[in-house]
Amino acid sequence: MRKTKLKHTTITVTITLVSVAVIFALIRAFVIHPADSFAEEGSVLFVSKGCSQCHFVDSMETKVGPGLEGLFKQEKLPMSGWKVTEENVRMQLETPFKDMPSFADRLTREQMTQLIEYLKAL
Amino acid sequence: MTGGILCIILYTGFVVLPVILATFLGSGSERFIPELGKNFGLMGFMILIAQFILAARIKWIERAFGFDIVIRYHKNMAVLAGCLLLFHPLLLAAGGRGWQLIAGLKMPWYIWLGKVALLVLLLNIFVSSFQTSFKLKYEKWRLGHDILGPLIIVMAFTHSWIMGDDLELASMKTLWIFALILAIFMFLYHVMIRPWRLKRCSYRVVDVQPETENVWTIKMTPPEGADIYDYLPGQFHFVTFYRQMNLPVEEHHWTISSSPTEEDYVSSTIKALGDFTSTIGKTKKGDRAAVHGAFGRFSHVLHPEEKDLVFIAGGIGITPFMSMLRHMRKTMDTHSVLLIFANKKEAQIVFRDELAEMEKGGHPRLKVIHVLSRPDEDWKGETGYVDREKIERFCGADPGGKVFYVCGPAPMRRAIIADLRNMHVPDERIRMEIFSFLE
Repeated sequence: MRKTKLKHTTITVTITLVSVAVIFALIRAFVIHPADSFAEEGSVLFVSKGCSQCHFVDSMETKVGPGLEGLFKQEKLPMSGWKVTEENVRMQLETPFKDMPSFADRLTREQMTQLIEYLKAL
Repeated sequence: MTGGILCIILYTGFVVLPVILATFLGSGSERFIPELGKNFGLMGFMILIAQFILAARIKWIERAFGFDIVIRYHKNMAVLAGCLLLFHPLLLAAGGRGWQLIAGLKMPWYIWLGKVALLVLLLNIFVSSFQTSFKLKYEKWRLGHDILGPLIIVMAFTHSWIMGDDLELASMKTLWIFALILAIFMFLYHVMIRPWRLKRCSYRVVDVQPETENVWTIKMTPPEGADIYDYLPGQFHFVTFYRQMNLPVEEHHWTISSSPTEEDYVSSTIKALGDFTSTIGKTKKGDRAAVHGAFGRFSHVLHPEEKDLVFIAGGIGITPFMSMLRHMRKTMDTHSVLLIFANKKEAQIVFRDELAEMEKGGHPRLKVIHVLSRPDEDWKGETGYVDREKIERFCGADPGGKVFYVCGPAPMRRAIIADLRNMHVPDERIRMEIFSFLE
C-alpha cells in the first residue's frame, strides 16, 4: 500500500541523510583536515594573528600578557581565574579581559579550534 | 515508479549538496562532533527549502506519488529537519563552542535569530502535527503556516549567512542565494501567482443539485473556448468559490464526482461538514469558481489489469467511486465491482437511485450492498458496521484476485484496512487515499 511505501521512503531518506552527514563529518575531520594538523595550523595563526606579540609560548613569564607555556596543564586561566577548559579559553578569546583584543571577529570557528589545539600542545 | 525514484534521488542530492561542497571546498575544519553539527545545520536548511517545493503542488512530483503522499512526506521531512536543526546547536556546544551557546544570554543577535528560528520551527511542526487535537480550523492553521514558513526560512538564511564558516565559500553563497530565491518563488507561486491565474480563468457554476438533506452536487463549466482540465475518475481538485459578498472565499479540496467523459462540466458532490461547507448550499448558478486539478492516484484507470474490484465507501466517501462507476458506465466497461456502501441512515444514502440503475445496466457488472449503522425499523438490508465478518460474507473468505478500494471517515478506513490485513489481503491489493490533510 502507498502509505507503507511512504514509511519506507521516509526511513530510507532519513538514514541516507544522517549517514551522509556522519560520513562527510568524518571525512572532513579525519581525512581532509586531520586533527594533528590543527596544532600546526594553530601555530601559524598564533603568529599571523598577532598573539605572539603579547604572549610567550616557551615561558610562563609575562610579555604584555601572561606566558602560555603549559597552559592546559594549569588549573586556572591566568587572568580570569576560570578553570582551564576548551570552552573557557574559547570564551576568553571572544570576550577577553583587560587590554587583550577580542578575536571573535578575527578568527573563524575553525581557526579558533586550531589555535586551541596549538595551546593544548604547549 | 521510475519518476518516483528519480524524485527521491534528486531530493536527496539537493539536501546533501551543501555538505559535499563544504567538505571538499571548505578551507578549514573542526573535529568530528562540531563538523557533524554543521552538517546537520546545512541539511536542515536545505530540507526546509525543499518543503516549499513539496507543498507547491508541482504536477510531475504529484503524479509520481499522489498528492496525499507528497503532503505526508512534507510532514515527515519537517520532523526530520526539526530534529537535525535541534541537534545542530547541541553538537556545536558539545564539540567545543561551549554550553553558553545554548544557555547563555549574552550573545550576538544572529545567534539569537537562529535560536528564534529554531523555536518557531519546532512550534510550527508541533501545531501542524497536532492541529486536530488543538481543534484548530484548517483555514487558521494554513494562514499561520503560510506566515511562519517564509519567516523561518528568512531567519535561518540570515543566521547561517552571517554565522556559517562554510558560507564564506563563493559556491556556498551562490547555492544559498539560489535556495532562498527558489523557496520564495515557490511560496509566491503557490499562494499568489497561481491563485491569481486560476481566478482569471475561473469556471462558472452551472448547476447546484441537492442530493440528500445536507449534500449538494455542484457542476462547473470552464470559461468559453477553454477545455476542462484532464482528470482521471477518482481524482480530486482544489476549488475556491467566489459567491455572494457575505460568503467566505476559501480554497478547499473535493473529490470529483463526474466522469471525465463528461465534456461540458466537472462536478463535486459536497457534504456540509464544517464552517465553510455549511454554506455550500448557498452557492448559486452563475457563481465563479477557481478550479485547480487534478490530483490523486485513487483511480482504477491506473490499474487496467485489475478487473475484479471491491469498493468500500463510507458516507460522502462514495464520490470517487461514483466518478469511477460513471466512467465505467460510459465506456461500456466490463469490470466486476462490488460496492459496499456504509451510511448511518437510509435517508443519507447519496446517489441511491443512480446506483440502482447502474446495477441493472451491466456496465460495469455492479452489485451494491448498503450497510446502515442506525437504520429505521423498516430497513430490510444489512445493519451495523462494515467489518471482517461482512467483508468475508460478501466477498468470500479468500478474497483471491480482488482489489479493495476504501474511502470514508478515518476511523472506518483504519478499521477496514486492519480487517483486510487480518484477512491476509496483501498491501498491493488495498488502495486508499487520505483526503484530509489534517490526519
